[in-house]
Amino acid sequence: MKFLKLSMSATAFAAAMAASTSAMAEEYKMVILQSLTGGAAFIGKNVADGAAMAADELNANGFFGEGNSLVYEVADDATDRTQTLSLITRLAADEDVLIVMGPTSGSVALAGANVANEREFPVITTTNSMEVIENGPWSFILTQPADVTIPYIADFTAQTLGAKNCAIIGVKDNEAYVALQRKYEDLIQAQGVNLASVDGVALADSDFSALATKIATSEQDCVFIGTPAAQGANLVIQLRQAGLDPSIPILGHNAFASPTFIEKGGAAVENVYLMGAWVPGGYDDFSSAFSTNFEAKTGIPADEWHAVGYSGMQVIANAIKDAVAAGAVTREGVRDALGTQTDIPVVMGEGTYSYDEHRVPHFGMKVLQVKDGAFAVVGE
Amino acid sequence: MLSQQILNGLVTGSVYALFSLGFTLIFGVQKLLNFAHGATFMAGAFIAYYCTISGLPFLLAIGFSMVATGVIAILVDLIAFRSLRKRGNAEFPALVSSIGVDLILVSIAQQVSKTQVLNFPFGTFPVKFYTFMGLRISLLQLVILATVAVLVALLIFYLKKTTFGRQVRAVATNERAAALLGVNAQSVYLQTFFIAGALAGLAGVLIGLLFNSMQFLMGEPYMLRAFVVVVIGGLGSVPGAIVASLMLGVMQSLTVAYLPSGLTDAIIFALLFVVLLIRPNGLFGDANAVAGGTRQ
Amino acid sequence: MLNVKDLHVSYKGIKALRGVSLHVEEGEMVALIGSNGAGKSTLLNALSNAVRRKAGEIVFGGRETRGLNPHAVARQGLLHVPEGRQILADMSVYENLLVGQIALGRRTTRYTLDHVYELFPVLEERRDQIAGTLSGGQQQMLAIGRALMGGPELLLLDEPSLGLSPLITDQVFDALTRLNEEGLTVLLVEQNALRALEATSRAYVLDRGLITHEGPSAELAGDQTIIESYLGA
Repeated sequence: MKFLKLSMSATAFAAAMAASTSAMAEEYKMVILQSLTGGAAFIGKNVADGAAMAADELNANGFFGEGNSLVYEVADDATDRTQTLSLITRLAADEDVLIVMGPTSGSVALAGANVANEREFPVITTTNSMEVIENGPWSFILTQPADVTIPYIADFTAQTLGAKNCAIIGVKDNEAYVALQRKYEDLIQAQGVNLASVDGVALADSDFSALATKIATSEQDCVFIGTPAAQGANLVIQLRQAGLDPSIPILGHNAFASPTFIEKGGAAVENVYLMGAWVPGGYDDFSSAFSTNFEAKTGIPADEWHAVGYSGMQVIANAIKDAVAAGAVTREGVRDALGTQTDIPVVMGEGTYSYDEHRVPHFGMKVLQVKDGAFAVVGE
Repeated sequence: MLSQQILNGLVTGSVYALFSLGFTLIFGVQKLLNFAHGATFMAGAFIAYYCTISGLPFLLAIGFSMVATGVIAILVDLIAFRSLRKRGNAEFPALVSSIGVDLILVSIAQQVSKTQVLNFPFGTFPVKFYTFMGLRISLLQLVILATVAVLVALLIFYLKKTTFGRQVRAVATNERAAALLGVNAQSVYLQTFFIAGALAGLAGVLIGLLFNSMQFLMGEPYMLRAFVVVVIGGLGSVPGAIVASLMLGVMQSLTVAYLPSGLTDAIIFALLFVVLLIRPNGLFGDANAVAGGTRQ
Repeated sequence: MLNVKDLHVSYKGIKALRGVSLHVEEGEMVALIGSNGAGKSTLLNALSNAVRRKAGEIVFGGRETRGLNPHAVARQGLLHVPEGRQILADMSVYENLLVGQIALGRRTTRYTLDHVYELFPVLEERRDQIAGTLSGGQQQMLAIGRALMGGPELLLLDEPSLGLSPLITDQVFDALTRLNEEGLTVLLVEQNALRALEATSRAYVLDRGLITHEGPSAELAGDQTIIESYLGA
């Protein structure tokens, strides 16, 4: 079924090619390869939707000049290494494909990076794993590594809140979440904060009654939760139901910056601190417009992963445009252009996206707090 | 904290019991493992959720969901099991075809929910807590314990004391002999699948309500636990499934509370092996099985 | 009561019955004897539709049973006590008897629980015992008692003496004789041919899927070829 979807859009692409030659318009072909199904679908599906919307908008606004357009296909890595390897190998064999936006995360992203570097084929994975960058010059990452993001919330914990003894709850079966949690632990410990307890839950878990009782009856002055939004909201509810002292601050990382967090958490998540690259509803003209348009188009409010996809497509489009301007509409040209993108307007973080000299992305973070059922930027 | 954790474990374990009973019942009667049981559980939560948000009163939504999951389970029997049963030696093919049904249901749920985690709207069930003797127990936990106790009692009564129940046990013990005595095995199958499905559906709703979370893959961890429960309790044994479920719930609670995290599953399976070493047929192996399970 | 014409059954690729015709009249007790592998059990299984026939007619109580499931045949009053007794080992004696009652449906019968207990007092003594723990003879009594609870118009018995001591076999046959005298129609399959011929009024001899002899039991018991083939040893 997944292959069928791909081959159908390939046919559409061929038809579009035939039509375009007569108009002398240029088409730049890329593939959005994300986890539409499988364990990472909650990331990949959203990234793909955000990215597709961005590409459609850019084309509609004539971003590449009169008649020129970015042509994309959406494919499913199925959170599966074998499927990913065969898809990337096949895409690499198609000379017209300039770049792949994907695969999504974890070992699948790393496997994708590996084959991309072998085939000299640019891929930009959604993950924030440094390993993907280190794998070779053809593999990029779209999101900020823990080294870049976690200091925002760790410094807030140790310095602004002055916490001394934190209970940590992480996800034990997803390496991206584990990496974030470890980084947080290291950073707060370096600032003199003790770890009261460290527990891991599985992504599919929803029964936290035992864990919540344990934490509610233990001593700590801060609880950090490093899980996806819906699960985090659920943890907070169960912590509150187990009788956790309401004066103890609960913190989370950027995954909480999703409307889902407030929707699922309701009154229980009031006052929870988090950090976000994405501020739900937007915080400036560009991000607010994205938020409004996305919800109008899909019927669901945009979350962080939608914003990541949307922003990532802006960066890719700018890189392709630069490659065109440099007269190098090749994989190598696009790759070189991508690594030098700076200050690209995006809808997350501090509003601009830049790769540093090590091809590490930077776009900033904001510390937020849930106030009256909405995210408020702390200190503004 | 110990007594609080035991209480937590008993509540979770009682829902495991609800889930595992149907699974063990089907195994007892058919000697087939129904892998679609986890998806049926998930479907129960989903159906009740969508009924509730479309404005149906919650109790009605639960009732509707139980009937619907009962029917889903019957469809599993008709689609995945019936034709295989006719040709005999169905264990392995039936396993595969029920995995197929499971995947179909899970895929549908993924499409319907757009892979989002769902939860019942706030206020679906009143959030009230009672404290007594230092124990913190919610109204929901009390209702769940009572509901499960009543349903388990009803199920045992049904199996032990009614004509229908005796037919179920007769088919479980010796299908061929039962047929010669006028027992319609097909109707027994339909009944057991319906009951198993309805109980799994209710378990799904209760878990969704208790832990504020429903997603398309929610059946998988419960399926794994049902295997453990059924093996520890004794294949096809109803009392075994109940005792093993409660044990499992409490064990899980206590490992989370007192041992380094991440060991829960390792400990549960270590327990499984210990039980199998001491009692290879499970705690309530064969001879005492209410739903039968003896091969002739 | 029962009319079978030209019955053919293949079982696992072997032609087990090759055109069997027989009849049992109301109130009769008829024996079916034959050596091991002659097709006796297959014939009973075909009569209760537990195996599918290839061709032929089976008319029970004036009605062709083709296409009925085994449980539906049982519910019409054709009750088959299979070889090896097949009691419900996990259930109590009493529960076995109650399951037996299922075949009765809306029909009525003179065989009540009291009647069965009177016939086999040991079943009453052990009513709450798990059936799997009964002795072989007690299990055979339970299997017969259970079939009686289903209101049989015709009782098919497959090797009731199998594995039983002579003493217990006597008890079982006495009970069968008594049931027949009270009006129950019985078709009895036995390896113990002499015993079967003594107990019945009429008999058939089945050999490799064909009826080779039929007639009054006493006559067959005196037939030299039959004595040599089946009663010898």
